[in-house]
Amino acid sequence: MAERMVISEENFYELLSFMVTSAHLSIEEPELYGSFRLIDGACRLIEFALESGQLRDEDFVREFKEYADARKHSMMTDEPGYVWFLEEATGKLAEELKRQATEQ
Amino acid sequence: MEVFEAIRNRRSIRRFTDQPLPKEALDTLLEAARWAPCGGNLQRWRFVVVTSPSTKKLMKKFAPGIFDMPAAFIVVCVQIVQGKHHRDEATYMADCSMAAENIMLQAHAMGIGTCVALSYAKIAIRKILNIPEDVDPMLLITLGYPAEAPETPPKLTLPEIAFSDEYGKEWK
Repeated sequence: MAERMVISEENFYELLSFMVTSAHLSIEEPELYGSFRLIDGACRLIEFALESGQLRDEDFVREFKEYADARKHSMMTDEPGYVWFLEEATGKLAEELKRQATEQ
Repeated sequence: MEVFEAIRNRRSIRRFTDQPLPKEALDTLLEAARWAPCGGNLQRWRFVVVTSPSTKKLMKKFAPGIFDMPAAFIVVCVQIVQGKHHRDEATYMADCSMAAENIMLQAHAMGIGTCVALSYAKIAIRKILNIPEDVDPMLLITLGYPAEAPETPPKLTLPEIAFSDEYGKEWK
C-alpha cells in the first residue's frame, strides 16, 4: 500500500467543492440523496486515485468503481435494490481490505 | 414532431456528446421559453445561457447532481418584484417550470437532450454568474446532444393519479 498518495490540485478542489456543496444541499434534499452523494463521491475519489497512477493495485478499485457506477443510480428507481447494493458494496470493500491486511 | 409525441418520448438526458449547440438552436429554445404561460403575464423570468467552457466547469463543481459536462446550461431565474406585483415563491417556481418545460420539449423536438437540476448551490451559482440580489436562480437546465438513450422510468397509471368529479372518485 502506498505510504502517500497525492491527487492533483484541480481534482482536490473538484472533490472539495463536491463535498461542501453536498453537505449544504443535504440539509434540504430528500434523505436518500445524502447517501447517494457519498457513494457518488466515493466513485469520484476512485477516479482521481486512478488518475494519479499511484495505487499499488488498481484492479480492485477499477472494478469497484465500474460496479458502483452501474448501480448507484438505482437510488432513483429501485430503493430496495439501492439499499442492497450499498450493503453489498460495503461487504466487497471489507473483503478487499481484509485480503490486503492478510497479505501484509 | 407531434406535441404529444414530444411529451411522451422526452427523457432526462444526463450524458452528452462533445458536440456544441448552434447559437440558432439556443435562440429557438429561448423563444420557446418566452412564449410559456405565466401568472399575470408578469414575465419575470430571466435566462442565463452558459456555453463558456471555463464557466461551465466552475458551475459543475457546485452542482453535485450533474454527472457529465453539458454543451450548455440555461439558468432559469426570476426577477423578484416588490409591491403590488409581488408573488410568492411557488408562483415564481410555477412560471419558471412552465418556461423550462417549453425549453425541454422544444429541445427534444430538435434532437437536443436536457435535464433539470435542482441539486446545486444557489449561492455559488449566484456568485459565479454575477446574478444580482433581486434575481433568484430557480432552475438549472443542462443541454446537449444525447450520448445515452435512457429507459422509460416507471410511471403511475391514470387511475392512480386522476379522479372524476371529486378527489378519490375513480377516473373512467
